[in-house]
Order: sequence, then structure tokens, then C-alpha cells
Amino acid sequence: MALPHLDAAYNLARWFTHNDEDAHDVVQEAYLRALRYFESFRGEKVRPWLLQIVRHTSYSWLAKNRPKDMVSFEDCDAAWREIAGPSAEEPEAITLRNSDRTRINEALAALPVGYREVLVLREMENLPYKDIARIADIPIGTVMSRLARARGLMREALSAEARPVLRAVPQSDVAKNSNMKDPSP
Amino acid sequence: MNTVPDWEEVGAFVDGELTSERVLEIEARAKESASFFREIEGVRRLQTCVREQTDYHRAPDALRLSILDACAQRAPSQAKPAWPQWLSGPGSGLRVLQRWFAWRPMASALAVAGFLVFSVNLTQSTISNTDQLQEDIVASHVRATMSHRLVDLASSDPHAVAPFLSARLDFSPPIQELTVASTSLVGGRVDYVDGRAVAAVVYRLGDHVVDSFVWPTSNGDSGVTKTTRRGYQLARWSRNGMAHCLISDASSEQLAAIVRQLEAGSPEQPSS
Repeated sequence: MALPHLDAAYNLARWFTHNDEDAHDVVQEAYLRALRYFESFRGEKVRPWLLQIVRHTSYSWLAKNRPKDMVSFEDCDAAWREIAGPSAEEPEAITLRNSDRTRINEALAALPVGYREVLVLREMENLPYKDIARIADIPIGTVMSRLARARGLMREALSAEARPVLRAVPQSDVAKNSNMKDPSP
Repeated sequence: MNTVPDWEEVGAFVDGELTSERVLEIEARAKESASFFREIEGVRRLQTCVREQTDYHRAPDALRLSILDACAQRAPSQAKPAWPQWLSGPGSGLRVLQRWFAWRPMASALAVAGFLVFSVNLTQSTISNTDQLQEDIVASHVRATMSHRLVDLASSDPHAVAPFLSARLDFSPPIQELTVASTSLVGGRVDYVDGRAVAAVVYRLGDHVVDSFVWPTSNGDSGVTKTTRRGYQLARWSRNGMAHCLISDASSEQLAAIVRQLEAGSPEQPSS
């Protein structure tokens, strides 16, 4: 029998928990919850709905078992607001191409959990911002800024000599959101 | 509105999340400024890199089974006592009936049946266009490799294959020679995928056949998305108004090198 979206659920939980055994437990718990809440499901898109439950279950698991992961994200959210992307002249083009799998996986695993989740949902599940916003329970503008920061941190981690590049990000969220396909409600 | 895009917006641009007016503005800016163009390319490159090289953890079969198991077990433990106490006193006739009814197994059976319905519903509601497209691509690839009609025109010269295909289609597919080791261009054929005629460019990688499907798309550019279907590796991306889908039975590592070249090379390689 096919359990729908099990791979996506497992992959997300695995990137949250960092190990197979815990991902196994989290996904099982999430599917049981999904079954229980199925009555409240009103024919919307299934994948975001299910992944939202998986994320929620993962966060409860993190709060209980890895409280440090949660704290590090809360603390650093403000600090990273100022870290902008790499300048275009950086030679990371070459380094990125030749980076080995291990290094990229390690860099992703090392991202603070809030950045890791948006990047996993965007790049591995290829979800639109609207769905990511729903799953992570944040406005679309925040999805955009977290993704940008996540990518910035990845580049930084992957560029040969890790040097932080500081550049202020204009906080023109209102203006930006008006350019989005789906302005957050 | 023509503000300087910050690089959060560059990310949204690469992800195809901006309105079409803003996309045009950003594209115009990218043409003017080489450094801004490089910035966009940087985000694209990182995206491809993350998509290609991060581990996608697939659910083990044991998990599938244990979820179904857990569902079946949870239901009876939550079931309320089958009958009120006063009805099921010793010697009551209902007691016999109660035993005959075998309440608990029935509850588990109901739970499993419920989950089945739940699963089938979910599966049905998610057979999306993407799935349909991938099915078509796999079918087309399998048909071509099983029959002897792998190519309509056999040639290792891109400048022979391109005009052949564009004469039979309403677009001109970009065709490249591969520089990856032990690959060669075999030729091209016209095929039918997702309700339209598409170009299939056929390469050989060692003993494997690699089909590269190309068709015009109005959706914006998108990075490489890899999937596996019935053991075939698929890689999809869009660039310069062309959707590409590569399929092969080669390993995903072998395919990645080809994807990288085709994806990177397509802009400089307008077909003749």
C-alpha cells in the first residue's frame, strides 16, 4: 500500500533530526497525527498539509531532545539579518562546482534549523514560496528573506576561505511583497 | 517601480516567484550590468549544486510497515468500552453477543480500512501534471529503447541534428556535443510528450542511452530537479524558455556530469 508523500516526510524529518532512528519515530508520530486530524482536512493541497504536521512534530521533538538547536536559531535570527550575500566577484563559482557531496551536506546540516527547513523544502521538494510559508508558518516575505540568508550562509560555508561579507539588506519588505506573485495575507 | 533589486529578490527571481513585470525589469538590469548578471548566476549555481549534491533520504520500507502497524494498534486502545457496565453484567445475554461481535479486531480492521481510504484519497488527489509528464517521458524513453526507433536521424553532428528537428517541430531545440568522457551524440527523434510534439536528442553514455527531451515553455527558468522513476534517473530544468528533461538508466552520478554540461552550456549554444 502506498503511504503518500512518505519520502518527502522522511527526508524533512531526517534533516531536522540528523539521524535515521529519530526521523523514523518523528514521521510515524506525524502520520498518526495526520490520521487523527484528517477530519479537519478540507481538500486543500495534501503535501503542504502533511509536511506541516511533520514539521510540527519535528519541532516538538527538537524542543524535547535538542533544545540547543532551537535556541541557536532564535538567538541568531536578529544577528544574521545583517549578513548579506556574497559579492558577485567571489571566486566561489569554482569552489562550488568542485565541492564534494560531504562538504555540501555538512554545510546544510550545520545551518540553523529555520534556514535549513526553508532550503530543504525549496531545493529538495521544489515547493513554491506559498507552500513553504504554510508549512513553516511564516509570511511569504519571511520565506524569501530566510531563503536568501540560508543561501548566503551556504555560500559562505562552501567558499574556500570562509570570510563573512557584511552588507546591509534594505528592509523594504512592504515594497518587495507587492512584487510577489502571492502576497502573504 | 524600478528599485534596485536586493539579493533576496534575486533569490525570488531565480525561484520564479516574482510578478512578470518585475521579472522583465530584473532581466533588463541583468543585461546592463555584468556584475548583477554574475550575482544571479551565482544563486543559480548554488541552487544547482544544492539540488544535485545533497542527500535525499528516502523512507525505508520498515517505516512504511511500522506506520501501518501503529495505526492498526492505536485504534483499539482508544476505543471506548464496548458496552456500558450495566448491560454486560455476568450472565447477561448481551455478553454472548458481545463476544460474538469481536469488537477489538473489528476496530483494528476499521482503522486499517480507514487508513487505506485516506491513503488512496491522498494519492489520487496528488497525481499532478508533473507526475503525468514524468510518466510520459519514461514511457517515451522505454518505447524508444525497446523498439529499433531510437532516432529518426542518426548523426553525431549537432549541425545536422538541429535542422532536422527544427524542420519537424515548431521550435528549434538547442543541441550540444558532450565533452563528458565516453559520451557521444547518437542523433535525434521527434516524440510526443504531455500533449505536444517535443525534440528528443539521444546520447550514448557507455552502454547507456540518454534521452534529452526539449520543448518550449512559458514558465520561467528553474534549477535542476532530480527524481527517480521505475529505476530511471530523471533530471528536469528550464532555461531560456526551453524545458529540458533528461532520462537514463545510468547512475545519477554519471548523469550529473551530463546535466551540468547541458544546463550550463545551453545559453551559449543557440542551435543553427
